[in-house]
Amino acid sequence: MDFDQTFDELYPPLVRYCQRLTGDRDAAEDTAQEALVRLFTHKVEGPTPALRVWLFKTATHLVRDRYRVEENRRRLLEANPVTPGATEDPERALERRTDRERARKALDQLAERDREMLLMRHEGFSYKEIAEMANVAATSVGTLLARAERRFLDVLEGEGEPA
Amino acid sequence: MTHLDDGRPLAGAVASALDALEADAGDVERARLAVRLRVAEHAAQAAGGTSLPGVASRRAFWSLSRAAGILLVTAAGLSALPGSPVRVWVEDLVRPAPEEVAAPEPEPAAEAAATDVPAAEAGVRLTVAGGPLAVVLRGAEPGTEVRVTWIPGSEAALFAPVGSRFTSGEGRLEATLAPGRVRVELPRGFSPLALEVDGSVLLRSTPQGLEVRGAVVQRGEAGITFVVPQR
Repeated sequence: MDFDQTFDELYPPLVRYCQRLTGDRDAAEDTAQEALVRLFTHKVEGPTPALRVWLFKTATHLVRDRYRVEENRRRLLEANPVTPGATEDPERALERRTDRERARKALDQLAERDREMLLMRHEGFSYKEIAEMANVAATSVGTLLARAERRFLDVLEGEGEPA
Repeated sequence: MTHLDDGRPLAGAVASALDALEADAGDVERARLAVRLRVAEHAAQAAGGTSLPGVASRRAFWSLSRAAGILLVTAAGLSALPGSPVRVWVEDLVRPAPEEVAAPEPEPAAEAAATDVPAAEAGVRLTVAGGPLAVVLRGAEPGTEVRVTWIPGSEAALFAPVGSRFTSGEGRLEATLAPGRVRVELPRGFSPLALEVDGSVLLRSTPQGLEVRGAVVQRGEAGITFVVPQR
């Protein structure tokens, strides 16, 4: 296994997934790096898709173990300000920030497993791979995902409505 | 809003909402270094060697000779590990005066070492404090690849195959090279700096801009890769 090639292929999507899962950059980087260290030190071998499943599954477990405390999640959410780019239109920046906060809050309303499955699907994993990572029956993934999607959008739209 | 009974049409709306979330991978090169160091440390411990200094526990008071001792121990241990993807790293070498260290020759290839395992590397790192920075390489074989990566911060680093000999001093990193790829990490935007291979300047940065003189095989935002030409 080539270190650089494996790292280049797997680290960026993994840290993105972890950041979306935790809502925190530092936690995401720590988790993604820890998962990669385990991949290399355990000498996990196989084709890239299999390594990817192993890595995301490991990272998901690490997030569950380390960052599941509700108070921590709240802190992470608050510590995630969005700084508009220097050249970005202020209105557009505000819109992006609002979209981001709404999506973050909607994700946080989901059950842990639903959140994980939704983000795994968003990273392009197949139902079979999601089943392996989430430890559910492959035949249930479609139903579970559809339910999670509905729940996510319901919360998202609720957030967008005037009080 | 009315949702369709079929779940799949929801996927587009979900994807669109999730796309609004953060997607920046951050400082990938720093993460790469952190992972590499931890893997090396793990392998060194497994081999019964001494731990390498980690990114999170940088010890600025380490002398070059002490770090070199660790390099010798860990490199010997790591290179004996068949199939190990590990490279040897030396971090944060802060030395009172220029001093020379020798990286060990790699062990004879073990059975599994013929697989796709990257060549072991050794290296030196230096904090630059505003003065000029020179990276000087000697003994480069024609065709040697020298990859320069721009990194944030104020550290410079030089990595070359195990067997290379390194020296460092204030504002200066030098190596007499063993065959294989060389990697140089330079602080982005730092000036003045120069990268020289066997008397030829490949790269020079001045307040007026970057001057690229060597044979470039790849150039991008992240860095420049040179190849040492035939003499």
